Amino acid sequence: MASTGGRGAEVQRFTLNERLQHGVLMVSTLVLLLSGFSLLFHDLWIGRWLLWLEGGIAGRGLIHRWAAGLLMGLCGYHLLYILFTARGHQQFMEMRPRWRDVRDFVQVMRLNLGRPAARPAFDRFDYRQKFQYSAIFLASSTMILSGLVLWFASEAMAVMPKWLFDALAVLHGGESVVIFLVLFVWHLYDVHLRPEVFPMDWSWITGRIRVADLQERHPMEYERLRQAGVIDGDAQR
Amino acid sequence: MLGGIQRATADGRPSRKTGQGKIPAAILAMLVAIGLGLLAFGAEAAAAPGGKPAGPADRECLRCHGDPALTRAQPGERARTTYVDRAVLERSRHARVACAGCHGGITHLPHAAKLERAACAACHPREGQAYAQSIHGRGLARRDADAPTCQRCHGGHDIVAVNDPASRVQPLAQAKICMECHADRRITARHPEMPSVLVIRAYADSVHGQAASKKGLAVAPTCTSCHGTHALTPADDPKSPVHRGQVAETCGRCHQGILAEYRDSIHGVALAKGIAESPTCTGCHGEHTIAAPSDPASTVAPGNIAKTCGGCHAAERIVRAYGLATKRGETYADSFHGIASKFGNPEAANCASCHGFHDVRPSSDPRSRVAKANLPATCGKCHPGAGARFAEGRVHIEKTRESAPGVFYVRTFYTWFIGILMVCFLGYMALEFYGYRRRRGAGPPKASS
Repeated sequence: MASTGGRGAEVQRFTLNERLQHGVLMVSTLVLLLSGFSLLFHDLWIGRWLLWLEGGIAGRGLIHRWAAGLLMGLCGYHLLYILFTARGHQQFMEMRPRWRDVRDFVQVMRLNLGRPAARPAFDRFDYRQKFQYSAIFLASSTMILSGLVLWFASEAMAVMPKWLFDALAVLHGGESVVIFLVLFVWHLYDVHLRPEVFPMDWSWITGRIRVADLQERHPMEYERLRQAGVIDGDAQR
Repeated sequence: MLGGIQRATADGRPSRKTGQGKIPAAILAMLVAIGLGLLAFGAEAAAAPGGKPAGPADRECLRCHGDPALTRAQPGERARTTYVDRAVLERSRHARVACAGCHGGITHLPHAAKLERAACAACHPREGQAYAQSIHGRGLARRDADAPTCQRCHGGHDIVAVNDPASRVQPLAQAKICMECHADRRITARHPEMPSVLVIRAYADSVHGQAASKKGLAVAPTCTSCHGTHALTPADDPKSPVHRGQVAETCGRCHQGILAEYRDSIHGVALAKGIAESPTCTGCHGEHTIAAPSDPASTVAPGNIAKTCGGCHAAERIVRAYGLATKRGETYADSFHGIASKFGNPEAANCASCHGFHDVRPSSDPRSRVAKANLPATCGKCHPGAGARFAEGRVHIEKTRESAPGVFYVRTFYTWFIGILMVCFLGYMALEFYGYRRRRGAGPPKASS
């Protein structure tokens, strides 16, 4: 059900730049997970198989570091993007968690349970999307910092005791499992399996969202765009 | 005197040797006198090769044995030639020894059908004595037909000096002679006490065997270099140079510097104290299979070291008996060093990288490479930055609160965090599906609208 016209007008949700950022994040994170899990699960067939696939311990390390470089480059770019571009800054401000998000969450839960509650009116990003962004933001920072310590082990050994180094190595592995679960259990559910979007929310590829969907999922943003004249309130459906 | 070395050809013409009689007789007599004088000091003087032995003169022997067609047939045996090729004999070390010098007990001609064995020990008493006590000599004394005689290894009429390149027992050729029996399954099948043919054959591919066969090094250790020569006894004989208690000394004859290091190591000290389970050279390096550490098949190759050390240090009985530190192998295997080494990075630190090789000592010894004070230098071999602060933590860490609190708490945190996260995710999904079902009526939750 590609939203390429037909069933209602569409409006741009993500710019090409943002979609490319998402693409690079996706590729680098997947490669990092695969080349990291080969080490984390070296005792299991999957780890051994991954290691073989990645050209042994040396090839694995090389792949992991290249992907890490890519991710760090992306994170650096993203920071510049949200700091120095109007669009990026605006998007970041929309992502900020607010108390309303907690209220929205409680309301959704009440509705799901059949308790009386008003349907929350989400703005551009709902609480699920904000959680997702914050999780990636935190996890990337943790992984990059602990990863750099492991990458520059000899330099790190000059300044830190071994117990801290060991703990950071374990943290790097534990956090990778968290990231894997957030992505594969939560994020994939969120953008594929949720009844509202099944089989897939196409906006990550097309960058567009149907006006009807916008009105249903992000009513406040819809209202703002309609008042700004970006979309024609009658053109939907 | 000259009669002893003079041999006539079948047709009676003088031999090449007697043809040298152009040397003035006075000088010849003097040389012989000096030679005899020297021999008188030697242990072999008892039956000087040049002395006239009892028995027939050589020309008498060669009257029959000079005939290439001469054979002998014992009842129930195939006919064997008893022809003696004079040319071969004259090129041999024993060119100047009379027939009767070796073949004694001949009082009349034609002699008896069965003669005594050639009497090598008459001139070589030390070798003869050593041989008699060896596993080979004892076998021969038992009339074991497979037991090698002097001739079996050294040759008969064609015998040459051991350092002669044509010798069958010269260093580069010797392994072949030993293997003629020890790598022959028919012989080993008759002697279950003999080592497996595979064990023997492994020598050919070992670093020692290759040094001889590929590099042509005459100093390369061959069978007798380690096992001894005439006095050869099995490895379980305490006198054998390859007995556990002797191995280090034996290897140390060539690897002198290593022997000094080993003697001062915990393994060497323990062995000297009589702890038989303490490894000696072969405990780590193997015996006939010995290979250079650069050979991936070697027991001391970087990738195999952990397994080799683990042979004792992961063996519960040995660890308990000697109070060794536990879980060394497991904790190493779990470390990045262990994983990298296991999956083929030869540069990754293995046991020996930190603990040392022949000089391995307990960390309580201030000379040990893993003594607290030396750790920065030891780690610094690969991690030049490693400082004293780094060495504060334990190296072989277990995932317990006592061994590594930092690791333990981080692990515990993530175990709980991941568990709770999953409960939240799955609970949220379940609730959302539940709500979706409610809103769509009682029907099944058709995902696609």
